[in-house]
Amino acid sequence: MAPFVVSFLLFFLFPSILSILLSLFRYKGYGKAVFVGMENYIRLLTYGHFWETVGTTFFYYVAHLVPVFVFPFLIALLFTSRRTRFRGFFEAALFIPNIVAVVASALLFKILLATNNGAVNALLGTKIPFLDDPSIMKLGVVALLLWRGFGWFLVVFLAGLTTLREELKEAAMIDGASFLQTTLFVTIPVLKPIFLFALVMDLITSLKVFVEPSLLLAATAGSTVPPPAETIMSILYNNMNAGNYGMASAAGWILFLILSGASILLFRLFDPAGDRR
Amino acid sequence: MRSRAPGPAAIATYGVLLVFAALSLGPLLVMGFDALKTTTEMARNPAGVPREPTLVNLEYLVAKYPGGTFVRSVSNSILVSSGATVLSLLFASLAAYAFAKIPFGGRKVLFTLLIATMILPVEITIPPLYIMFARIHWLNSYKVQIVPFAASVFSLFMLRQYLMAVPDSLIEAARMEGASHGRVFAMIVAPLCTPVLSVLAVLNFMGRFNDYFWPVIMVNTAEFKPVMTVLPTIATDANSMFPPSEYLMAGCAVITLPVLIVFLVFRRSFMRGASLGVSVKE
Repeated sequence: MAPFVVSFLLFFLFPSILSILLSLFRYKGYGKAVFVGMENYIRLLTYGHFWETVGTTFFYYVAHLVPVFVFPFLIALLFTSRRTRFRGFFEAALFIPNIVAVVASALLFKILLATNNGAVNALLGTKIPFLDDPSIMKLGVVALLLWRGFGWFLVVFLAGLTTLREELKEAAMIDGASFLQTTLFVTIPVLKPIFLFALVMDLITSLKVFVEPSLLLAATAGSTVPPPAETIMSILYNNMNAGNYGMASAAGWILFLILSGASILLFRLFDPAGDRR
Repeated sequence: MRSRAPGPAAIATYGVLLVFAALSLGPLLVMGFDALKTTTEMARNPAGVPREPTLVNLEYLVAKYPGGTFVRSVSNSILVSSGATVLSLLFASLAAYAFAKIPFGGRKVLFTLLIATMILPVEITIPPLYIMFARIHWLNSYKVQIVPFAASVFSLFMLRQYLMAVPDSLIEAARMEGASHGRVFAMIVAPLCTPVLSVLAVLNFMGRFNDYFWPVIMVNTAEFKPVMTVLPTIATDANSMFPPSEYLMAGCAVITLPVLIVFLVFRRSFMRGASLGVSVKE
C-alpha cells in the first residue's frame, strides 16, 4: 500500500495543493514568484475571451448531448425489447469509433471535411467550407463528438437495460400496459441512475474538451485555433505555453468550479427531493 | 412455422440501423482507402476505393520519415503505455488488497479520502508538476510519461470492490498456514483479480496510449515523443508544398488498425470497460 500512497501524495495531492498556492502568484518558472492574491482569477473572469471559451465549451456540450443521448437509447431499447438480427455486428459497428484515438479521429475528420478535396465534399459534389467558415466550423467539432460518443452511450444503456429485471417489465405488460407505457413508466424511471451516470461522465469529459477543436481547426500542427472555437482547456494550455503558470493554475481551478457546479445541477435535476426520503 | 417476409416496420428498423452503422464505419473506411493512395490519385479521388493501391505512404512513414521519428514514436508510445499500465496496476492491486483484507487503523477514513479526490480534475496538477519536473530534469524523458501515473485511484477503487466480495476465510486459511501477505497476494489475490485486471489493463493502456495533453506539455524532443503528438506534425514534417493528406491518413490507419484488431478479438473486455461504472452504481 505504501507505494500507492506515496505516489498519490507525490504526483497528485501535493501538486493539487501547490496548484492552489500557485494560482495566487505570478510566476514565470524562473526568478521570483510574486504574490498577487486573487488577481489571476479576477483577470480571467473579467477577460471577455475567457467567457467566450466558456460559452463555446457549453455549446459543444449542449449541441452534441441530445442526439448522442436519444438515438443510442432508442437503439438500446430496440435491442433489448425484440430480437434483432446481427445485433452483435451493429453493436460493434457503432462502438468502434469510440476506440479510435481522439487525435487520429480529429485528424481524420479534418481531412474528410476539408473544403478542397475533402471526401465529404467530393461525395456531395460541393465545396462547403465546413472547417474554414467561422459560422459553421464549431459544428465540425460537434460532429466529431457525436461520432465518438454514440457507441459509448449505447454500451452504457445496454448494460443498464440488461440489469433491469425482466419480471418488472412482464408484470407491467400483464397488467395491460402497452410497450410505450412500460417504457415510459417502468423502464425510464428504473434507469434513472444509469442516465445520471452517463450524463455526469459525459459532462466531465465534454467540459474538458481540448483535442477535438485544436486538431480539427488549427491550420497546421502548433498553429493556433481560431479563438471563437477555443474551449476552457485552451485557456489553460495557452497559459502553460506562455509560461504563465499562476494563470494556468487559476484557469484549472475555475474549470473545477464550473465542473462541480454543473454536476451538482445535474444531480439536483435528477433527484429534486434528495432521493425522496 | 414458415418464415414470414419482413414487414415494413422491420425494413425501416434495419434501414435506420444500417445508416447509423455506415456513418460509424464510413470515415474509417475512407481512412483505409486514402492510406493506400498516391498524391495524384488522392487529388482526383479523395473518397472512393483506391484504383491503384500503393504502399508508398507506409514506406514513407516507416523508412523515409525525417529522423525515423514516426517508428520511434510508435515504440515510445508502446513502451510508456505498457510501463504506466504495469506500474499502476501493481500499485493499485497491492493497495486494494490492504484496503480490503488487512485491518488497520483509519482504513475507512483513508479510503474515503482517496475516493473523494476523484472529483478533482487531474489538469489542475499540470502547472505545478511541470515546474517540478523542470526542476528535477524530468521533462523530455520516458519517466515523466510513466511514473506520475503510478497511483490510479479509479483502478484501486475497482479492485477493492472486487476483493471485498472474496470471502475472508480464503485469505485467513492461507495466513494460518503461515503464508506472508506477499505470498497471499501473489498466490491468491492476484490470480483472483485477473478478470478485473484485464479490463483495467485495457482501460489504462488505452488511456495512456491515446493521451495528447500530457505529452504535448511535458515532452517536446522527437526522441521521447509518443505517436499521438507526432501524428499531427506529419504534414509539416514532410516539408512539402502541399500538406500530404495521404501521409496523415496512413499514419492514422497504422495506429488504428492494431487497436481495431485487438478490439475485435477482446470485444467483451472493451465493452465492459466502457460500462464499468454502471455495475458499480448498484
